[in-house]
Amino acid sequence: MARFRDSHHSSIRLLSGPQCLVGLRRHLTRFLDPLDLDSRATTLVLLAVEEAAANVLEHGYRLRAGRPILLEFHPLDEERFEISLADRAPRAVLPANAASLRDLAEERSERGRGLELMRAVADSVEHAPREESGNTWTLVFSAQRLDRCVEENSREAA
Amino acid sequence: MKQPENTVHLISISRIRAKKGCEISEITLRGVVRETTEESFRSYLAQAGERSPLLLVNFAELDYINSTGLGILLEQSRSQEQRGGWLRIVSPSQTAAMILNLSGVADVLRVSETVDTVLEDLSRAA
Repeated sequence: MARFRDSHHSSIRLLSGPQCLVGLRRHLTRFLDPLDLDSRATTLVLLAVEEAAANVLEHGYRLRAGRPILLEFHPLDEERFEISLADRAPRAVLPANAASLRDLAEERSERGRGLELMRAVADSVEHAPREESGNTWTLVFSAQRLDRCVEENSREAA
Repeated sequence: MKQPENTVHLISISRIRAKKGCEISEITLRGVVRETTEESFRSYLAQAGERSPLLLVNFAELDYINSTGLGILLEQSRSQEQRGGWLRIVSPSQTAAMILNLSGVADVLRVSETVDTVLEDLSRAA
């Protein structure tokens, strides 16, 4: 069983730009390594957090380089941990009625599935505007949901 | 956990001759599809798709694909369908299969275990 409570709070300040997601993956992997998650569960966490960060870079900072992103990892209890991203981008507006992943796939939609992928993997995805300016994106993950997500999505091809 | 390298390599683009003179283009890729490799992925798919309306994408050695990569895959499938064909995924790695299932892409595009399975399906349909 995962013992997330034994891990430590960690944070790292990143800058937007072409290497930002490379750095984010490196630090995230460092946060996640001690949790002893299944490698596919780790991939799902990376997928969800990368999608959140990609949204900040693309929609928040409009691909401008040199803007701050604070990445934080908090163990919550034995079974859950939280990863947050704080930016200084203009306040984000979330779509009121997001299409499901299945609908987006049916439509052959090239864009717009990042938020739904985060929601599919994380227990919760929350957005809060920061006091002065910017946004905080908080994703809570649990061992139980990650395991279920791996299991449900590991069916064999026909 | 060691992360896969940030590259996508084109291993091969080949032609498979199926029954009744029908030709399939198969592309095999290795690596990851993420922000650093999305445009190469798009260009490799387009290149393979031009060879035949029937396109098989072999993901046996693909370690990761992000949401933009999934979008590119779906866009290419649309392009194949507009030419009267299809795009199918074959032999996905465990991780690629998991992401395709999670994203609903596996419900829309056919995912087959082997090339032989695809050829058998085609023979049955003929």
